[in-house]
Formats: sequence, structure tokens, C-alpha cells
Amino acid sequence: MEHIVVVGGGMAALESIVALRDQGYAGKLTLVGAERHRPYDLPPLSKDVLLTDTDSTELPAEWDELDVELRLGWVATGLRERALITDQGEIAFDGLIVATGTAPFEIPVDEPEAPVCYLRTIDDALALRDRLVEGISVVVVGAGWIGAEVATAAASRGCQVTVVEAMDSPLATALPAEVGLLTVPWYDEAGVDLLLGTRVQDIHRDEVELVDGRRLHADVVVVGVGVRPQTAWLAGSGIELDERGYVVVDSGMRTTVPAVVAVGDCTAWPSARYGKQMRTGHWDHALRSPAVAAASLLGGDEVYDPVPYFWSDQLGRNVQYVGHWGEGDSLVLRGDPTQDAWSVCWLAGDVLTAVLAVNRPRDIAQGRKLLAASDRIDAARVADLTVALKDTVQP
Amino acid sequence: MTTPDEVSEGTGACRWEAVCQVGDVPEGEVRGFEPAGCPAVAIYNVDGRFYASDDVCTHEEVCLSDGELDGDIIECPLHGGSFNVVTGEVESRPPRKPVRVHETRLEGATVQVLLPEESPEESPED
Repeated sequence: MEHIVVVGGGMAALESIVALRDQGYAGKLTLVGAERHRPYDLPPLSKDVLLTDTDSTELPAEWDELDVELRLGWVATGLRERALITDQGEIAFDGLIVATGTAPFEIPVDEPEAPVCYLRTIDDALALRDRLVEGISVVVVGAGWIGAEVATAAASRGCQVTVVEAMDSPLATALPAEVGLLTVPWYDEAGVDLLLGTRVQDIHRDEVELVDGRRLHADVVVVGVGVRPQTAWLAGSGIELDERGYVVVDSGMRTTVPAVVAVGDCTAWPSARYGKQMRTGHWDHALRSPAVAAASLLGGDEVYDPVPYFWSDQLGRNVQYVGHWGEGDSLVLRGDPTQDAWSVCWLAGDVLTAVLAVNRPRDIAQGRKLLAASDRIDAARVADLTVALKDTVQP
Repeated sequence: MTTPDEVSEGTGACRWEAVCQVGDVPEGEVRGFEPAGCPAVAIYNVDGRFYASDDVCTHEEVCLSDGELDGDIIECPLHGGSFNVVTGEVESRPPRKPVRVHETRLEGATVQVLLPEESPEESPED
């Protein structure tokens, strides 16, 4: 293998490059990124960048040592056998790593001057921050992870914030309603209005019109209603995409086309641990999947089967989640959810399947080990906050 | 609540600092301390031996002492990164840089740590 091309501009792309060099690949390396920025970190965009005066989240990298040709501002538009097609010409490769990530779902809006923003890139984040001026009205569409973080930042900048969520609980795509509802008081406390079970009809020049006829004044509307994979450019390449457009990979992150692997948010990967194809747009996945993909490309046979993990800083709390809960798992509350620090554990029988921790990082660290070991644990002890989670294993 | 030690090891900007008492850090646990004029330090009790490192993760501004000690591995409270507390080496990502570790010694029941002095502007006012 003499030339490997990595397509993408986020952490998964950078980690792919680092992993290839770490694993001894000494050939030519080219990074093709649609944005003009070097790879940067996404989680801080909805946290530090909006909350503080942080202007860059560029990821630290020893570029000279990595010896990479950077093709920034080049947009991948297609793929044929052993050649990447971009808007600025073709690049031949022996191996390709697809790391093009996801982009926000957009909602149709007729009014050209509607103040609608999305948050995915550093440019989006800086532009949004400039608009979050004290005293303005901000409507956030979607009470998911991004919506909650944007609402946090807007409220802390002195904006009047309303969050509009179509489902009946916050974080509804990730958490069961009874857990998501535990976060509702956080909105009150932060001075944010939360409208659950409320759909947006349309967005006008300075108003959000709701399906029930209400109209909310809005100087800025931030839409965070989920993401779609940026994989349209792979159409017709022979690379299998799933029904939602995610790149289907095997346990080594290999696509259905030889010498092409995929990493990070744009992938649907098979979890042996959970017996299903997973799509986790988590930072941890972008961090850890590249080492396996790089090994596969270089002829190795590593298996990717992580325990999913992510975190969010929202409404004054650190929220972390590890594992994967299933329908039918029982829920055990650890601590009082009206207090600052508590957790929720999911159990299948007496085996832990997931932990959500609010301001309790040790439950995550200890839970991660219990998940990996699949130890039988004692639910009554899990419910007792005075017992460390690691001490709930049945004798 | 610490007292600078007069003892000098001749390492220039470093000095032995009495950071805590043996009983302050139970076996298998980690605690954070902020000795005056020195960087915040995490003290680890690994099977009765005391180790020390900077208390800030090299990945992001998070106190390692809020993390979970498992044997001689400290797991950061955020993001799941971990370090070996004896060597400071990265055990698992995301951090890339090792955490700075400090020599320790016991004087009776007092845990002393060889710490660099912080630059004056970072020192708390007396």
C-alpha cells in the first residue's frame, strides 16, 4: 500500500492518520477535508465555543511528523475503483478511509429571511455565538443533546430561551421518557421555557409558528432535530449504505468495497456485544474506531466491539452515559433526582446494561468495568447511594 | 492547610511539600490537594504506597482526583482516559501526553511530595 487517502475533517479523520502512522504505515498519506480548517473537535462547539470566547477547537497534531498532504476545502463528490473524485480533481489511492461524519437534518422553511441556524461546524458555532446577544429571544427546536446545550449557552448569555420539543420528554431518542423527564426541572432552574409534545408548523421572519397555532417571537431559531450521514457522494460506488444512508461496515470497519474502510459518525457497525447494527454518533466512537479501521486496511484483523459512551454538559450538569439499554431492562435509580448528583442504572435480569450519571463520574468509571465484565449485581445495593457501584457485585 | 517544608533537595524550583496525612487517603483511593504556591496534586494510595501526580488531566481541565483509581491506574472522570499513576504514562486515550508525576516520601504519618513552585502570578495570595 503506497497511498492512503482519508476523507473527512473531524477527529475520526485525524485519529485515522495517527493510527496509520502508529501502526507503521510509512507510505504517502493525503487528508481530503471539505472545510478549510484542519481537523477540529466537535463536542466543544455546543459547549466552550458558545459559552466562552474559545475561537478554535483544532485538534493538536504533529503535522510535520505525520507527514500528511492536506487537501482542505476539497469536497469529495464520488468514488470509483481506486480513485476518489473531488470538486478539484481525482486522487488515486491504494486505500481509503471514509470519515465524512454527519450533518444536521434541515427542516423546510419557506421564508428566506427566517433566522434559522444549525450547529455542526466551527463556522456555524462562531456565527451563532455572535447572534446570541443579551435580551434577544431564542427558540431552540429539539430538546436533544444539542438543543439542551445550545439552550444552556443562550440562557447564560442572557437570551430569553424557549425549547420546543415534538416528543413528550427531553432526550427522547436516547432515553426512555421516565428518565428524560427527570431533566425537565433543569430547564426551569436555568430560566428556559420548555414546551414538550409541541410541533413546529413553520418558521417566519421573526416568529416560530406552532402546530397548535401559538406563535413564539424569535430573533434566532436554532434547529437541533438529529443528523444524517454525509454519504450521498458514495452513491453508485458499490459501498453498501443502510436504509438511513450510513456506511455498512464489518467488525473491522471494512466497507463492502475492498481497500475502503469507514470510521466515526457515518458508520453503521455490527456490535457482537449487543447483537445488532449500531449507529452511534458519539465522540468516543470517532476516537476508537479508527485504530481498528487502520489495522484492517494494513492487513490486520482487529475487532471493534466497544461499550458505547458519551457525555453532555447541559443546564449546569455533567451528564455521562455508558452502555446500551434495551426495551424490557429494569431501571434502578441511584439517589434523588431532585438533587445535584444521581444516576440511573439499567439491568437485564441482574446484569448491568447501561448507566446514566448526573454529576457522578465515578458511577461511569465503575459502571464501565461492570459492563465489560457482565458481573451479576445486586439491584438493592445499586439503589443505595452509600454503596459504591463497584461494590454491588453479587458474591 | 499545608506547611512548606524547609528541606531542599537541591532541584532548583522544587521543594518537598507536606501535602497530607497518611489517613487522608484510604487504600485504593485518590484525593486532591492544593498546597499553597504549588500546582494542585493528586495523591494515590496503591496498596499502602503513596504516589502523586498533577491533579489535572492532560486532555482537558478536569481533576484526576475526581476519577476512579483501579490498582495503579487512574481513570479520568470525563471521557474515560486513564494514566498509570506510577509512571504517568497514558494507559488509554483520549489523552496523548503523560501526566506529570511527583516523587513522594513519608515523614512519620505525613505524605511529602517533591513539587515545583508555581510562578508567582499563579500563587494564591497569602
